[in-house]
This record gives sequence, C-alpha cells and structure tokens, in this order.
Amino acid sequence: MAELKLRAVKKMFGATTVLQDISVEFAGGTVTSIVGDNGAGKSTLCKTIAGVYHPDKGEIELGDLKLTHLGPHETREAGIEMIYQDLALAKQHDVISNLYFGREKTRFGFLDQKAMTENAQAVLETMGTKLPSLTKPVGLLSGGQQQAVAIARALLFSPRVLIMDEPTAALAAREIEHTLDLIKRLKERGLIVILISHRLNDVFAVSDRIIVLRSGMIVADKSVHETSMQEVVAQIMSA
Amino acid sequence: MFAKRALLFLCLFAGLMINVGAQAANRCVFVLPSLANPYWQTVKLGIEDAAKENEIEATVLSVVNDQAKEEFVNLCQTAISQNPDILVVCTTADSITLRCLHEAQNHHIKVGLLDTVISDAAIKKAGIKLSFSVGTDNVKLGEKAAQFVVSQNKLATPKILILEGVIGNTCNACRVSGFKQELTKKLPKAKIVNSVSAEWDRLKALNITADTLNRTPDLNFVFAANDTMALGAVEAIRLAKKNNQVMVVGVDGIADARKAITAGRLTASVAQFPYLIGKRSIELAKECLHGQCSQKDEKTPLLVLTKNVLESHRDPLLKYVR
Amino acid sequence: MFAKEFLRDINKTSLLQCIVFLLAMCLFFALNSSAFISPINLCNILTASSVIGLMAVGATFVIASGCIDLAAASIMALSSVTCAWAAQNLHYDGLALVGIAVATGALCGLTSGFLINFTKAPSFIITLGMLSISRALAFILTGGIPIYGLEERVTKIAEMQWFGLSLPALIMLGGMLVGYLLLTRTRFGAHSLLLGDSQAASEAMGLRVPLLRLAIFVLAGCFSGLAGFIFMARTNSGDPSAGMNYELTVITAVVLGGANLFGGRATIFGTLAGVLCLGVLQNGLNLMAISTFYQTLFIGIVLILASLLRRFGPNNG
Repeated sequence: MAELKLRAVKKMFGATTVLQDISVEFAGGTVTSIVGDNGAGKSTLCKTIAGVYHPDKGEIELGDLKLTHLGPHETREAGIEMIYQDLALAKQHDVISNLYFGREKTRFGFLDQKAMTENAQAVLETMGTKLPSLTKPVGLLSGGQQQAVAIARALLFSPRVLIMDEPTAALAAREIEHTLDLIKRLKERGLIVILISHRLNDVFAVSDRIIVLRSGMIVADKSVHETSMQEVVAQIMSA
Repeated sequence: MFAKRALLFLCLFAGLMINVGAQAANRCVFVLPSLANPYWQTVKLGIEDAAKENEIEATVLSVVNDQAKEEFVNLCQTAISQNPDILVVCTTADSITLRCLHEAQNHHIKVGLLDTVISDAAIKKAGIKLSFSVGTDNVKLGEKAAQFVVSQNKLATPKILILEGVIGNTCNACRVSGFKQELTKKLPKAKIVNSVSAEWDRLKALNITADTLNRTPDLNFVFAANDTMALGAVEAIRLAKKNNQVMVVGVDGIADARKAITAGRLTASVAQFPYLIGKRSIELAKECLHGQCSQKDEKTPLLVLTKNVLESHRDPLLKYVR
Repeated sequence: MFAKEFLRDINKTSLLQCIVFLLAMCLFFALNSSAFISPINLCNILTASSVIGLMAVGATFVIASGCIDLAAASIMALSSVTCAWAAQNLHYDGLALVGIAVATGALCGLTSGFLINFTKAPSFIITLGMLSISRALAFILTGGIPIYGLEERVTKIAEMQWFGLSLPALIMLGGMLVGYLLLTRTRFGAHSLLLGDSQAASEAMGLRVPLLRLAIFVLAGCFSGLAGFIFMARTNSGDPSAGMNYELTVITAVVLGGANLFGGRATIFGTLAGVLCLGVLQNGLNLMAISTFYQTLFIGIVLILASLLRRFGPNNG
C-alpha cells in the first residue's frame, strides 16, 4: 500500500525555522491527527506536503514518487488533496465550478458543462450531501454547506491522501458528527487521512495515531490507544 | 569608502552648480505645452533655428500633458530656478500663467508670452510688465475660416457642423467664437446643425461627423478647430461617399492636412505659422535684451491653404509652412 | 446555444439592468430623433463602438481575473502606429497588417504580464507604467507626427460591408464571439474567472497563476492591437496620440455590463451591452445636437443612473 514518507524535512520562513528535521511516515487506511499549539507548524507541515511550500531540506515521497519539488498542481495530480482551513473556495462561483476547480472536464478542448453537472450530482448524492442549488454562488451557502463542497471537491478524483486543516472548527454539532463519520468511511476506503485539529474530542473520536508538534518538532508520536487526552494536553503545553 | 565617494559626488555637484552660474548671458527659457504635437514641434524648430542665428541660448521645456495644470506650475518653477534672462511661456490656463509670470518677475527675469490669449486688464491687474507677446490671433483665424466658407458657398442656407476642441481651451474657444460671429455677420441664414467637442480626437471627430451625416444627410460644411479632427471628419465623409457634397475646413496647416489638401480630400486649412512664432519670439527676446522691449502683442500672419495655394507655390508665406 | 447561458448571465450579474437601461435609452433617443432608429444609424453605432468594443473584450478577461489594464488605449495607439508604418513602408496589406498590429499588442501585453508576475506589484501600477511606455514608444517611433495618407487598399478595409454591417463592426462582433467562447467554454476562461474570485484558492488548487496571468495580458494585448488596426483603417492614419483616455471608457463599459471591478464575475454579453450603452448614448446625443456641456452632464447622469439600477433586480452585488 502507498505510503507517504517525510525524511528530515526542514522549512524556514526567512530566518525563522518553522519545521525542523521532521521525519514521519503515514500508512494507508489510517487517520493521523497532528495537534499542537498555535504556531507549532501544523499548517506549514501540511502545506509543505500539499506542495504550497517547498522544503528547504529533506525529501517527501508518495510511494515511488518524489514530491519534494512539486507544486500544488502536480501533487493534486499525484492524488494528494488538502482541505484548507479557509476552504479555498471561489465564493462568487457556483458549486460545479468549485468542484472542478482547476480540473474542468473538457470535450474537444471545450468545457463539458453537461458531464460536470451530471457527475457532480452523482458524487454529492453518494456523499449524502444536500445542497439547495448547484448554480448558486458558493458564498451564499452556509458554512457547513461550503465545507461540504470543499470536501466533495477533494474526493471527486479519488485521492490517495486527504489532508484536512481544522475541518470541524467552524461547524455546528450535527455537522461535526457528519464530518467525523465521513472521515471514518474514508479510512475504510484505504486513504491516508491527515487531520489537523484543536478539538481533542474530535481527534480522539476518529484518529488511529496522534502526532504532537511543538516549535516545529515532533515531540510525541503515539497510537491513540497508548496515550490519553491528559498526556496529549501536557505534551502540547509543556515548555 | 563611502565618505570618499560622497566627497567626489559633492565636488562634481558643486562643479555643476558653478558651471550653471557661470553660463553666458542671453539665456532664454521656454515653457511650452506638450511637444507630442506637430504644432509645438514646429514652434520649437523655429526657436532653435532662430536661436542659432541670433546666438541666444534657448532651452525649451514642455509639459507631458497640456491639461495638467499643476505640471505646468512645476515646470515654470524649474524654469525660474535656472535663472534665465528671459522666460517665455505658453499656457492655456490664464490664472496659472499669471502666477508663474509674477514669480519670474520677482526674480528679475523678463517675461514674454508665446501664443497665449490673456486680456490686457488681467495682466495689469496681476502687476505684470510683459516684454513682448507673439502668437496667432485665434479669433481672426476663426473668422478667416468663416470667410472661406462664405466664399465657397453657393447655397442660401448651407448646413454647417462645427467640431470643437477640448472645452475650456482658450484657443479653441476663440476659434469657434470667431467662426460663429463672422458666419452670422456674413451669412445670417447659414444653419449650424451641431457645434460639439470632439476633444481634439480623430476618432471622436469621425464618429460625430458620421452621426451628423446620418441626421443631416444634406450637410455642406464641416469646420474643425484643428486639423486632426478635420482629418477624422474627412474619413467619415469618404466612408459616406459624400466627398463632393461636404467641404471640410481645418486649422493649423500641419503636414498631414497639406497632404490631404493636395490629394483633394480636405478642402482647406487655415494655416498658422508656428515656425514664425518660434522665430519671432527669439528675435523679440533679443531686441528686448538689448533694451528695446516691444511690449506689443504681435500677431503672426494666417494663410488659408487650399489646393490652388499649395500648388501654385506663389505665396511668400509658404516657405514658413513646415 | 446562447439562450441558456444568456439567461444564466442575467441571473448571475446585473446584465439585465444594463439591458433594460440600454433599451430605455434607445426608446428615449428614438422618440427624440427620427434618424436614430434607422438601420444605417444602428450600424453606425456598432461601427463607432468597434475600437472601444475590441479593447473591452480584452479588458473583460483582465477584469475577470482581478486585474486592471490601464495600458489598453496606449497599446492601441502604438499598434496603429506600427501597423500604419508597415502599410506605408513595407506595403503590407490585409492580414499581414492585422498580424503586425496584433503582434505589437501581444508583445506589449506580454511585457505587462511578465512584469506583474515578476514584481508581484498591483497590475494598476505596472499597466500605468506600460501606459506611459507604450504611448512614449508611439511618439518616439513617429517623432510625434501621425502617419497619415495610407494607400487606397488599406483605407478600403474600413469601407467594406457585409449584410449592411461595416467590416470594423463585424470584426468587433467577431471579437466578442471569440471572447465569449474563450470565457465561457474553455478552461482558460474559467480559470481567469476563478483567479479573479480568489487568487489564494487558485494557487492552492494548482492553477498555474503566473502563466495564466501572462496569457490573459497577452490576449488583452492582442485585442488592443486589433483595435489599433481598426483605428488605423478607419482614420486612415497611425496616430501616436490616438485614444487618449479611452482606457477609462473601456473599463467603464465592462463594469457597466455587470462585471465585478475586483474580479471573479464578468460576462461578454455584459461587456457588449456596456459598450453599446456608451455607443448609443454618444450617438443619440450627437443626433440630438446637444452641446458638449450638456453631453458631459448626460454621460455622468447616465453612469450614475445605471449604477442605481443595479440596486434592483436579482443580484445586488
């Protein structure tokens, strides 16, 4: 099964080291949560995997493919999807444009609006997502609906890796439940799921493994059965 | 290292300053509107030729956009800071000219006007003593155009379109009012079907003429306050296939207009003599520097260019047509 | 094939208000001037709008992508100059001249696009610089004197007519059609709009933003070049001072047609409607022989009325 490997990844912003010497492997069919205080480097780590940032040192590999120097376009092609905290949606565009953002279907070089609409409806149905309208600007949908669109977009092309940055932060209780269910189903399908979250309840509800980051370093990496909420909190907080 | 360089720079700078201060007498600085215009380029040519002849050192400064009034003030201040013997300005905005001239006078610089329309009263009120003034009489220019139209007219009630330049421009206002006054005097029955600004713009003139032809298919004359607009009107008339019906009169006598007149496209253009304006301004400046300031408002001649005039080569003024 | 998307555009932007407004103006002018509604006059409006219209197609893409192109009119002037120069000195005609004009425009657009990518400065600043540079180049190439009096076969281009429409008008409509297909039917158009909607999202979703922006500015440059060609053919000259301040007219037309000045929302139908609004207004005022003072007043009132209308209808954006 495909494995995502990071070897001695280092990332600097100017003179500040944000990630130092991160070496970690992610296996398919597992949910790994990355927790840590603000500024610990969680988002940077994920964006480095997604190709938004490039590591200053170290290697990233997915199976046999080297990702180290690839941009978001190529990493998406390779099957890595990230759901950003701000969702990265085009708010004035309708649902379909957003679902196919950057991967529009074409026929003879022209957009195939019909195929995209049909496919989008099918995918949203299998996900159990209900949206009021596919032609409404996404900005007019509710927060939960917007997130559903972002998730649907990430799953549309059957990715191998799914990275979620704070997926539950802005949701109501029922929507959280729904998202966590979804994460479990994705894990069963053999995806590598990486989850960034502040909400430890959610983390313990779905994760197989918890990684604690502090000041750009991994301070703990344990199976969820070997640790407890108190321990994780202590690891996050301890100076 | 840095100190050494700074010192070197300072020395150079000081040398430059001394050099500026020690320059020969009889320096004349001109502040002209945009040189991106054949008319002002010809004025400049006249200035440079005459300056060489009369051994006067002439510097010509120009604004990039002649509608930018603030830019004119800045340039005028630059000119004053060069401390010339005489400062000659042209501007379309009266109040701004006066402010600049007044400041120059305070610096004991003689001032002249070039192709600027300002009332005597306004000059007196501002406390300015002009050394000389030279330029085109734009009212008379409009009158000449009207006289030409009258001389060509065979109809009882000819229909006329007037293409004005940018509103607020003094030259434009003088030309148009001169044309209208003379026309009502000589041909009271003439009908001005539209008098509208094409903003000196070729394409706008073309579109307005096309629209007017559409509304008034029996149009007889177009008077355009400059040649660029006249040439735009000519194209509209050509496209409407009414070359034989509509006569176009422009103003300036620029090279393109003369080409169009010889080719039979444009009927006439009332030529001004920018070259002469430039030449005379230097000559007047020289006289003034030798103690004989004319203080008069000299008007350069005008000439109606038609196919006949251009092809007969007889008029002595033609040699100043550039 | 247009009907469905036309309806969609009406839903998405304030296109409907623009069209209502356009029709109201037409009605007003038709009641006030008998010459207005004649077929010849309507064709005249299209012809008179051709230069602005072509530039507006390019500007639609630029504005859709969240940029502003202030250099369009200067590039148009420069293209008219190079094109007239080629006609006069190289004796090119027809398509070769179009090629020269479009190539000039494309080169200028390429420079703008490259500089925006390279400096990461706002397009406003870079294109403002390009406005000066291309205008200056036009002046330098001609020495400030327009190239005038082109050969018969060049000026004939503006006289050609098909189905009662002049060639400039047809080229403008053709340009609109090409723009329409590009904007609504290709990934390039879709990506332009997405980029204007959210640059951050576009980058995250793997759009090649610098390349895309470069292409958009090259396209806009091509349309400005084509406009320069039309300008040359219509006025029989390559004029370095051509189209002073037209860039603002172009932007006005695009925004009047319901485009979002900050990107993400723009349609070619809207741009066409906006261009026609301005064309009809100018034509109508000329036909009514309204003096320039009042023309200026009218244009201001119309712009504000059009903006007021946007507050009503399906889209309040």
